[in-house]
Amino acid sequence: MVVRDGVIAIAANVGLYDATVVEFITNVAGHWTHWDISGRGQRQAGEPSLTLDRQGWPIIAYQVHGASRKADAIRLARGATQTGSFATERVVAMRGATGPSLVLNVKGHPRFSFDAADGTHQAKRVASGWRVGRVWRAGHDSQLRLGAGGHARIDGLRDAPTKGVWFAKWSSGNWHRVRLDTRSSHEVAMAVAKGTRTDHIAYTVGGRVWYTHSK
Amino acid sequence: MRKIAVFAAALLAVVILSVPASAATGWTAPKLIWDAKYTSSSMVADGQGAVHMAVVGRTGIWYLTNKTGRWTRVRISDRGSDPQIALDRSDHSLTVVYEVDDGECCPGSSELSYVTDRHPDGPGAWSVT
Repeated sequence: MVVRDGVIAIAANVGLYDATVVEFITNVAGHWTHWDISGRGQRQAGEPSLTLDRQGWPIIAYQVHGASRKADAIRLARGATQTGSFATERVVAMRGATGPSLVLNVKGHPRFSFDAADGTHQAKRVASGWRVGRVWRAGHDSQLRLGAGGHARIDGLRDAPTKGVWFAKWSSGNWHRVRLDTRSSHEVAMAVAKGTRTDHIAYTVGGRVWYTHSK
Repeated sequence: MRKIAVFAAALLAVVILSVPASAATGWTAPKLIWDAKYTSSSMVADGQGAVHMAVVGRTGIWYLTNKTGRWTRVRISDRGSDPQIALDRSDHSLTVVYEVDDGECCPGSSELSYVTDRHPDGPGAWSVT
């Protein structure tokens, strides 16, 4: 969910009687409207992650479950709400691909983290197309944020390689991982304040909320 | 004997859940910010470094923040699930969108609601829309 100049933009996972689809919902111009992103023909879409580009147009990454896990995919939709149309492209086709977490870099190019059967990955738009790389060979529920200077941070490397809450930061050409807590958590939230170098992470253990931040 | 074993196991679980891990290099030691049952947390950080969170508690949706230098909380809805919080950088207002069980249509049916602190009385007063 994104709020800009008072306008709320939401990418929602909508369950129908026989399918799940992704919709874009906004209150632009003062009233609520929604658009079908994944299409009714796409019966198992979900886990959308939304951001807005510099012009305010929505960009949404979402997963599509195939008939088998081999056919799982992450698609990216770009919209222009003035015309009500969204153009979608398949960016990743990978076994077990799920849970994209989308951001735009300092140049406005999209990149997202996602989980797959063989670990946590990042996909980013480059001049020649898309580049997909593995961050770590395990992990769940990854979230991608960009810190000062556009450097990537990923949390949610849950229980990888060993039990606990992990955080990964891209620096000097490599992903550097650190274990923030030795206890397991299934609820992790991360934020990076714009213009600061501080990473904030909150997570629950046994329902209690814990918080830590980078120094 | 069995009761003692159960009690010991429960005590051990409480101790394990209450003891924070030591701080990772470059990070502060994990701090317990609220000792209650919460799930589904969503977080943003503002330009001053303050953190704003929306979480699901036993009695609704709660807003947690450390903007005053210590952690405080306020309940912003008496029901709901899966909250998402966002910061509008144009006027520094906060909005929380969450799901509410419809209950009228069919099992699993829900609708989206939102609350905002963009309120005529000024920031900090949450209003349900």
